Amino acid sequence: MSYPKLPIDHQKGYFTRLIVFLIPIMALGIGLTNDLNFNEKIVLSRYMMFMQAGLLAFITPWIMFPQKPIWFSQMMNPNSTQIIRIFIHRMGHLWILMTVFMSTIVFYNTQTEHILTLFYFWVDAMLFTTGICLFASVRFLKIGTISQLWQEGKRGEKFLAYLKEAGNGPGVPAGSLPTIGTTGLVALIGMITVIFSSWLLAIFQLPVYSLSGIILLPIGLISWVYHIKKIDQDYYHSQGFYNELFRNPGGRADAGRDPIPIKSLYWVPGMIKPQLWLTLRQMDRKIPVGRLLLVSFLFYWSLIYGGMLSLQLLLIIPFLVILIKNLVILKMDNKPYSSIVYRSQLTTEYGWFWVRVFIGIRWMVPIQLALMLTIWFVDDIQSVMWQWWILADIISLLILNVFATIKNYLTSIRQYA
Amino acid sequence: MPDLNQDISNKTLVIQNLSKRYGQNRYIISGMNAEFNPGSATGLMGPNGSGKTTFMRLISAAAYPTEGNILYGSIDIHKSVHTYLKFVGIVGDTSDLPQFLTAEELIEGILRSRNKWSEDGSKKLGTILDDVELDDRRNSLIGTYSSGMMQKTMIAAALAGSPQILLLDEPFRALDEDAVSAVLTLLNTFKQNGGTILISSHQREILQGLCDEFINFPVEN
Repeated sequence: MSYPKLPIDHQKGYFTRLIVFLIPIMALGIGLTNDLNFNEKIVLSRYMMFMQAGLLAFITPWIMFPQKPIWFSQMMNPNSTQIIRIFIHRMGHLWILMTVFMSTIVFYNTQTEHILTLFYFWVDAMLFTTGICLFASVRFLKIGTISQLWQEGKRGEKFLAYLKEAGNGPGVPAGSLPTIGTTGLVALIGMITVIFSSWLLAIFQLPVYSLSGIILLPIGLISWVYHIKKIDQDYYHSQGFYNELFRNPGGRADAGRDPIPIKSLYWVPGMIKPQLWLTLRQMDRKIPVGRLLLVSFLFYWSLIYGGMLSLQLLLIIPFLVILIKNLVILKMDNKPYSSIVYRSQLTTEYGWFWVRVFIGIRWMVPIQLALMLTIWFVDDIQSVMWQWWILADIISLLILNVFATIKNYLTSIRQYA
Repeated sequence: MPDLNQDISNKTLVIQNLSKRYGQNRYIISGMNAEFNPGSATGLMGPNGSGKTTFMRLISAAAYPTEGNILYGSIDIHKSVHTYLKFVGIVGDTSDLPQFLTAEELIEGILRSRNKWSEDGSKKLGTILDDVELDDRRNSLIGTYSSGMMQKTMIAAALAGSPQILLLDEPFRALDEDAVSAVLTLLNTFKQNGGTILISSHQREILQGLCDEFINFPVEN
């Protein structure tokens, strides 16, 4: 039986955005593998599997929930097949990017004598990507029930009491702790699978270079099959929970820390200060940029400390962190943070351009200080790189903002036309 | 009539000891019990923040209770959401309707998704849109609609799937007098045909002719 496609997840420019992201992803893959021999490629690919697990663990709940408007879901009333299709649509974007990236790494600049071995390795890498996508999506799909119990204080009482005793509590809503736990679990399962696969290959001297996908895909598939019966319950419960978590009904605006006072923006021109202040208040409440940067740099430094990064990756990862930081700022142009009417009432698109630039500058300072420290302690990185990273931050901030301004301007014309 | 595997011969909507709070804040709804029978209309009244929208979210499975159950026949609506929603039409928040579809396209999509689209679907759809008095701009993009037109679109969408339960959160918001009268006629007909209506509104006088009973929020036991 075939089911109609739902416009629940209708996103304008889905394929355009995909292509826009594919180009730098392929360029990055080519840049990373340019001078690598066969064995180095295998090692790099394993690191990339590690990174995939980490990325999926972090990004999956943001991709999956909440899906707005809930009214549309209720009225369309998707059945199990259609709910799965919604998630495939949402996760598909990322899956394509990751598989293209891995394919580029495996096959670019390959010597023909290794082609069969690499082909097998590639198949396993594809299975791994699919497996980790399946595992992450099912773990986060069913998180609503347990999260609500934590949020309402019916679970984790002892743990929360311990955190309170030890310091100031978890620093995030109690209901988001299962999400954090699941993030760790997904990353751990993905990474352990890669390590376990290498261990198996070493023990049994198998004539292949990876079993990660063959191990992980069944785990992902079985998880889905196990939960498919109550997929509608899980879907609506997680939707409902994340809606509550993001809307924060009945709660105080700022739990645990003071919101940014307008006085602290003394370094911002008065013309855009109120707009910047309003944007930062929303951003600080819902997008933990500071924590994300901290986690990113701790991860980066731990990889450096473990000697796990080639010189190319040492240099490229900061560029990626900078790019992601500047991309995150663009989220503030869209609902639920902003709308065309909201923006047009507060200032012009020119004004909003500078608001985004100053948000970028706010996070540019800690990033560049962290990079300066990295250069200080890592001998392999020449100090000239710092100038390149600063330049990359400024240029990407300006270019992305020019694109955002044009896009917002065109959207407002279409809205009012 | 939707095909169901579960027993729904008793089509009463039963609220059993329902409680809801957000996080560890105070209870918005506490220990609520109620029954909504076929052929009845119930008005949900109360000041802002008294729990009407929370109740609507609970009864439409958009939120899950802290304690208690909501049953439709023998179905626990929060466990068999897809099955339950086959019987339900909803009017909720209009702010997130897809901007680049027309009202006709949106409702046709909903009906197709619910396997309720038939050969004469266009004709039926035209009749419903006539009934809610959505004029010939029904073929224009929703992004160009006034808030009243969006409201009419949602009401038409809720009724189009031949539901047995209607959950209406402030359905008269932004409607002009003629449209209010037209919608009330539709709702009265729905009720007389055995439908169950739960409707929240601040305008008690509009609901007097429609509702058999009123529940005042916050609910006290």
